[in-house]
Amino acid sequence: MTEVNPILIEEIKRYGAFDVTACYSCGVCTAICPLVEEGREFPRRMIRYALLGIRRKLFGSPELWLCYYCGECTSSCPRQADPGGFMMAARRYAIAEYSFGRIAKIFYSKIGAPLTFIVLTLIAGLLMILFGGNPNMSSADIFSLLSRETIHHAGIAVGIIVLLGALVNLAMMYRHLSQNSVKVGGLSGLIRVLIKEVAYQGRYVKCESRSRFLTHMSLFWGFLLLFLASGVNFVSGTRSPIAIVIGFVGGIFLLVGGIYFVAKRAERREPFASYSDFMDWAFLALILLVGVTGFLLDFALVTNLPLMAYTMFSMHLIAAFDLLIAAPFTKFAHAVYRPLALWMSERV
Amino acid sequence: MGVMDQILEKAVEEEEAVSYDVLVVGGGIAGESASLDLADMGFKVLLVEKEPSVGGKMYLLSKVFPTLDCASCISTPRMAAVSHHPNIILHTYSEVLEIRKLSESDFQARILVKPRFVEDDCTGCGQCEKVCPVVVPKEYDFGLRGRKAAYIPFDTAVPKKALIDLDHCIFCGQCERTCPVGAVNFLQVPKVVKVRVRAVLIATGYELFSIERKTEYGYGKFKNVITAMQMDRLLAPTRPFNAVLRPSDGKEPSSIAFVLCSGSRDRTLNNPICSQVCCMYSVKQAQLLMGALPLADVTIYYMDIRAFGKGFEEFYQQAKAMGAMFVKGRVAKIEETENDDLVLWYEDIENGGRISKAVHDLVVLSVGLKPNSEIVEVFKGEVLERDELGWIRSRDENVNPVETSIKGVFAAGCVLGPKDIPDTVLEAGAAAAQVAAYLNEVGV
Repeated sequence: MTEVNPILIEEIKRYGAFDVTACYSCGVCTAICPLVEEGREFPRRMIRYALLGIRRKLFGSPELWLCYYCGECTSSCPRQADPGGFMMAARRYAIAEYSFGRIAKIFYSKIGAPLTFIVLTLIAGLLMILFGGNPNMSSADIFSLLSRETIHHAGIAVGIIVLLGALVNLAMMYRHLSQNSVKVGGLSGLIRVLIKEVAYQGRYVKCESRSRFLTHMSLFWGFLLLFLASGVNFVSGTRSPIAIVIGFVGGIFLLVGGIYFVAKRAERREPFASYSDFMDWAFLALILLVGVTGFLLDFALVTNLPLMAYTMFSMHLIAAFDLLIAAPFTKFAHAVYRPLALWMSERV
Repeated sequence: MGVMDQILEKAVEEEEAVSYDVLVVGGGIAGESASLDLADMGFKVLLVEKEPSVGGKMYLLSKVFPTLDCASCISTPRMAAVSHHPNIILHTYSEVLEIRKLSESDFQARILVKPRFVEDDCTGCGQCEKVCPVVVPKEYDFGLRGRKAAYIPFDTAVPKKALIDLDHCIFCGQCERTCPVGAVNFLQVPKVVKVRVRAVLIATGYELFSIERKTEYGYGKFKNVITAMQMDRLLAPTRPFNAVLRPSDGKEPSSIAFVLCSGSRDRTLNNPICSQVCCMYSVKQAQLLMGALPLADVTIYYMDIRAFGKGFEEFYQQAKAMGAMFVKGRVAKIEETENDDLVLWYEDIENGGRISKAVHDLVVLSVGLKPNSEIVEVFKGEVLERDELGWIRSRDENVNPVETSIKGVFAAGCVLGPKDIPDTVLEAGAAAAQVAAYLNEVGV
């Protein structure tokens, strides 16, 4: 039996799909989409699910995550119903829907989201004060502020929390999709997803302008390299020169990507950037903050400026903490949701 | 600036002693019907038509829906009637430059009568056409074939008199030497006639939507993408090739697609409304095509078939029964193949919403209508209001549809909004009655 819910569309509209009720279901969006393949059609079908309020079908559709929002549908929609914006809004709603106890809803509330980040920042600051030592003011040594062990343990703790959050949310998404009889695609499928869609992001190429594909790649590989650098540091227990090089390259990649998307969102010209909610900005702001403070920290360490080093170090840690803790509940989660959707839709 | 424009600048002003009861602007089916109705009531009518012949768009059609009557058989008698009626003075190839309301039921109009460079002695024999060496695309066939620079607009033109297209003329003088009555006169000058009229009726109708603006459909770029008006010409008794052929290679098409809502119901083209006639003329053309090309497949891509009038639904069902295929899904884009066939991309909504593409060798864009209401700019003093899409605004849509924002100025037909021929003729009758009432009210 299919349940119908007239309220659902009103809820989704709050997440950014302001004009979608103008849709007269002509199918131009589907036919113009460069990513649609037979059997997995969107956005029109998704819009129908939303307008009828068939929650199970809508959030059980991997199609939501097969869209990369190039905006072709939005610019050719004869009703200017912004199907691309709808898909984005539905993904925002899905992030809330897939999170444990719908906790992620708070990141899409106008007051709740900034408040959550303030609380997270306060917690991080408090932890630093609690576990921090007396910094050495004569020479810049970050380990005098927080000992190697403290950083180590904090890293493990944050890692576990984030991983747990991501796994729980992934399981929620899996449940939604399998309720809609979507099955996982086997091990070879998973490997194909990881190589073609995570490492290379082949679908992104089909859909996007070259520059957006490259900068997104830059952002993605920037993150990956920075994690790698942290991993090397973690294993070696010192600031190894390899980690410094990898971190430097990763940081540059991250900043390039971050600045590009800030510029696009500020410009608001392309459909994907036409509407940005608080999280879109917060996400970019945190990325840039982590990147910039990382570089300044390195600068302060090399030039031996203790005060600047400690300030940058604290800001860097707090921003990274905010970014990571929130990751499974914000748009950052697309990093795991998209691969799962691709795997389960066998579109590789 | 063309030669003709330079000549028109030198127009001579002329005061005409006669005044008229009504000035009717536009000699299409609306203007003709209203003029005839008013003239039959005894009013003196001045009918001004921009083109060299009256007839408007209806004359160009093959048949009319849903009766499949021959459009030119119905409209040519009307065209002849307006030119012969003792109470109607007809100015073709003329443009209204200015209308000024001096007082109630007193309008002054300035009308530019363009020179045809052929005197009224012309018998319409067509000798000039034969000798003229210049060939240009024929407006009345939407470029499907050519006409000469010295030409008669079409076989049943009213008035059936030649004219010379000076912008393309090479001044070889062959027409002048050939004309058996010596009617060709290159020294004709344009004149501006000043007339007084007591009421004005606007019947300027519509223009076809400029569908090249919808770049996804490739009109103007892909040879085998034509408009429905061109298809109507290909099906008409006076058609160009005496057969339905596709433009790129003159092949008889075997699979023809109609793309409904081309340039209508499309906010990206700033025309959100339904053009009201496209569904039915496409259904009509589908039926005619199945008669003209019995082996061809005809597919109509639609969002919904709006068969709202008398006999329309039956007409639609008849097309279905004859074998026309109706596919629900708005065509998103058209691509051209190597052999000039066309690939249509659409979502097959009635078959599970499957993403689909289909190949056709001729595509007909069922283009919508847009208002031909630039006439409002000639009104001086008072403003003739248009709605946000450019159609003339009725004083009251429900109870006073043919009156405009200026008292004494009326409108009828497609200039008020898209509509089919019967509705246009009805509205012309209504407008004629309203004009008569107005003239009686203000007193002779």
